[in-house]
Amino acid sequence: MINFINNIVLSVPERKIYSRLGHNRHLTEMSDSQRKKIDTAIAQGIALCQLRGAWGRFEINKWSEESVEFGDGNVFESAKLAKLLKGCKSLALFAVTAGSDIVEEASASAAQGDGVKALAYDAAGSEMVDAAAEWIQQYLNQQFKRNKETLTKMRFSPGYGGLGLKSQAIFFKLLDIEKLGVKLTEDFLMIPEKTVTAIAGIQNIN
Amino acid sequence: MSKKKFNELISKKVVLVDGATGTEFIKRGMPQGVSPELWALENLDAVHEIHNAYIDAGSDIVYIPSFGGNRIKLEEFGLADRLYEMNCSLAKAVKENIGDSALAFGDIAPTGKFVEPFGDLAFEDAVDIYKEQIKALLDGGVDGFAIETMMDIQETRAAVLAVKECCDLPIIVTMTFEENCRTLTGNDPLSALITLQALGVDAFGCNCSTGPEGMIELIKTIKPYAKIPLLTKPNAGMPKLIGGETVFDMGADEFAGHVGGLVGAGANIIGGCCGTTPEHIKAQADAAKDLRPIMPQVKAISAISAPHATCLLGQDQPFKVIGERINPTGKKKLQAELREGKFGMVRQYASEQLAGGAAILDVNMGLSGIDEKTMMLDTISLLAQGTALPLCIDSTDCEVIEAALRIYPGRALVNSISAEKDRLEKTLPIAAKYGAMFILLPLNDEGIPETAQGRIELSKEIFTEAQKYGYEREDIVLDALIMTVSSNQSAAKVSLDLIEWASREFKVNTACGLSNVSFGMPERKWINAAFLGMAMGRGLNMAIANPSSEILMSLIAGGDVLAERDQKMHRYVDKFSGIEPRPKTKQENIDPPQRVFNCVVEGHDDTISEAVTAALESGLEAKTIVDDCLIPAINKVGELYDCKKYFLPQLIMGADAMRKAFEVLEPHLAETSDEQSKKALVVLATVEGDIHDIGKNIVALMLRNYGFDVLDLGKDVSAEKIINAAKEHKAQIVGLSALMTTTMIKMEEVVKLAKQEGLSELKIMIGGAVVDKDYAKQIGADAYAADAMASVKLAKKFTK
Repeated sequence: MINFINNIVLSVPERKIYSRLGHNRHLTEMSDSQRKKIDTAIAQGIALCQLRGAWGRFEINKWSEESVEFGDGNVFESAKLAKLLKGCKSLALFAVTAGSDIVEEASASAAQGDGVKALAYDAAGSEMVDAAAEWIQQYLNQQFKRNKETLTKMRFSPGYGGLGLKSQAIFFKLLDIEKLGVKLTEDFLMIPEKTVTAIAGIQNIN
Repeated sequence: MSKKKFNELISKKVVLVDGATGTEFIKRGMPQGVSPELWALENLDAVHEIHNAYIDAGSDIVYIPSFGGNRIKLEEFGLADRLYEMNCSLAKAVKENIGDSALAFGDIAPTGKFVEPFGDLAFEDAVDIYKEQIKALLDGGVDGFAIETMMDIQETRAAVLAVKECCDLPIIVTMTFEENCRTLTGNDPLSALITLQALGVDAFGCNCSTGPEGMIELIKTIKPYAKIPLLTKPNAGMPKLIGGETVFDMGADEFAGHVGGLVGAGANIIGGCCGTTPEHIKAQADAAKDLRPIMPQVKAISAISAPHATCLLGQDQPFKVIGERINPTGKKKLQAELREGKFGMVRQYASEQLAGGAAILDVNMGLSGIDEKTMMLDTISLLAQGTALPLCIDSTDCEVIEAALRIYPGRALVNSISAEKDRLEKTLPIAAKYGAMFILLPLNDEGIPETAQGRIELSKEIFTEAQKYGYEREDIVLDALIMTVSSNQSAAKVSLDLIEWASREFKVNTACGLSNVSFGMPERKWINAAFLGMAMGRGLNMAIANPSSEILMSLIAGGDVLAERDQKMHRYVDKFSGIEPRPKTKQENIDPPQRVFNCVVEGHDDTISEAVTAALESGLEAKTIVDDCLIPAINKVGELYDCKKYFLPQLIMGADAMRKAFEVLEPHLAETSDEQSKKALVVLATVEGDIHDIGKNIVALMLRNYGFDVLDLGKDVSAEKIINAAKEHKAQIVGLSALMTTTMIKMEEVVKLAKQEGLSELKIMIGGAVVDKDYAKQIGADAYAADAMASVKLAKKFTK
């Protein structure tokens, strides 16, 4: 069963947005007017994010040290992912996006010469979509705990640890990600770019 | 059990519900991975043993183990076709076992799907899914329903409506609030209470997630607004991870030690959730036996709600503006958009009105040539997700109002109900069913009474009718029906008299469509402002208006101070303290060159033009301003960035200010001091296959601000295109960006092609999260730039 959420509401990861912009809490000094301008741009960026997500649970049929077969004959080939999923009977696939407005507005701001907005929007989009992925993990954990199950602490995404970008196609097929307004290019890139897909194992608590 | 009997029970004592069921099942052998409902049905002895233990401990109400008994959950176990049998049999078995020793409530819980507008499960489908389970439990003889562990207000509403549309039994609802006092979907306890008590639930509260101490504050916070009893089912303490297992280790005595706190805060019903046992409930019962519950303190509450926020109304609350902009009347552009099914302007109006200070958004979709109902539902769906503000549903069509109220995930305000036969007979019962507040229009089928007295009589008539549906004065906002003074100068006085009566004697909220008063007059804003001041003095506490009017919003801020609606005047001070003009002397005391320098260092791109103009007027040469002010200033910014006192946005601000200064100076500069750099052209591109370009855009911005010409080819650009552009435009530098390991290899193709084409003078620098100095060396690029500032430094070096 695939689940969708159209509006993920979460606590704004303000500290992380600042860190992404290079802020060093011990060294960086800002005047009130600088802080106000940056805070305003970040707040506008956050308002432009429309966090949506999809997830599904799939049984693992076959496990080896190099690959994992799950659901209806789908295979992820990655030794590192296989290691993460060792001992799990199922896995969760999920996808989150911050939508296209934030990406388009960041580009438009850069084109208009407003670098502060462009930077703030970009950082806000990246951190918000990351926080949304964490939200889904938290949500799933709450759902699973009644069955004495939990997600692996780590999640894994295509493009990392030897898991090729080609595997994005599996996410699009199984999670119907286009319903979130996300498209996959021929090179397996997701548009809008502030989109994350991930895999986590489902393990028993014992 | 009737609601009346339920309320009698609550009024007598602190009522006890049961404790955990799932953990008790596991203790009795329920294995992992099975349907708890099926296991319960196949192990009724265990169910009876647990219920008997809870009842012996003191539980007045036990939950039938039907938590996951809805179709979606049962489908996960391939049991959907047994839904009726399982729910009905479980209810019958429990009822037969407990007899009259306690009440048995059907347990309703989340489906695991999100309901529209927040998810893909259609609202009516959610209602139907719950109804199917509810009907089976009703056939099993349940005494009431416990809707529990909910984390989303819309799904909770669906479950509540499903019960209400199947029976008239008591409904108790608990939601799961995290440590931040919000559900995982962001609902807060107060807005959930306002929404659900208006919808007709009989008790509201929280279960799971935290221990008892965590729930005391929550109950205390919402008690003043609760017209229904409150309920808590805490876990046995906060969960701890011991040996890979989640453990709730608060003992029964410690657990019961919080009963006084919970009841003192206002809980009327208590019990336990994860980790609690009959011992915990027994200890609670002992601790509660001599305690008197605090009954609800209010009979009605003047408040509306959105999924994540509440708007409290009343004479003791700040004046509220209902934003009037989302209404196509007289707005051709909005009409055109709506006819095309677009909502960009709706979204824009919502955000502008929120920023302007509106507390509520009026939504009117009445427009010829569009399907009003569909547009209203689409707009509600958009705004429920896109704004924190509660909505005022504005329509003359009762079908539109019903459809809107059914799906709106909060308590809405209906605009409006009058003494017109159709409105009174059709719209009023609909508003009552969904617990909406409403705007009372004192007019009838014969029109608007000319006198205040005539409108008073009609107001009383409408309220009398509304009382039959359970409405109280707090649920009403009276519209003073302002007519323009341009056609009848005494019209304002009639409305002012009505406002005074409604506020002081009738004791309801009052509102008005403010701008009507000045229709047809020149300089309308002064009439509007004068009327608002006079009306506030008579007790007006709401207005349907455009919050972007600074005069209006400032007047309201001042009025709230004078009417003591702004506690300690904090809001007034916050609104105005930040906009005091900076004393000019402070600026004027700084000599012009220093001002220009400061503007760059502090990133004041908004005031630097003025500072540069002042410097020119003081007799400074343009070149001197560049050499002695701007260049030292931008170098200072660079230094601050290098030692990490500044971070990237500040660097960009300095560069932006510099660019603005050059815009003023350019006509005065015969020749720049940095002629060579200005003429140097940099071609920038994100390589083929890569769509990430924000970093490259920032580099372009910085290079331009430092005087370079930049040709930005965009993203996903082939090596051929990059090299052709470099050749054609005689570029001195090419900058390449890539953000992925799969696309960084394309950089090498560009380097190789440049060599093949014999572009030996061309410098190539690369950047992006996945590349570094070594990779640049490996592919034969001239340099690696770690960030935008490094790109500028390299470009300067290459063009020296």
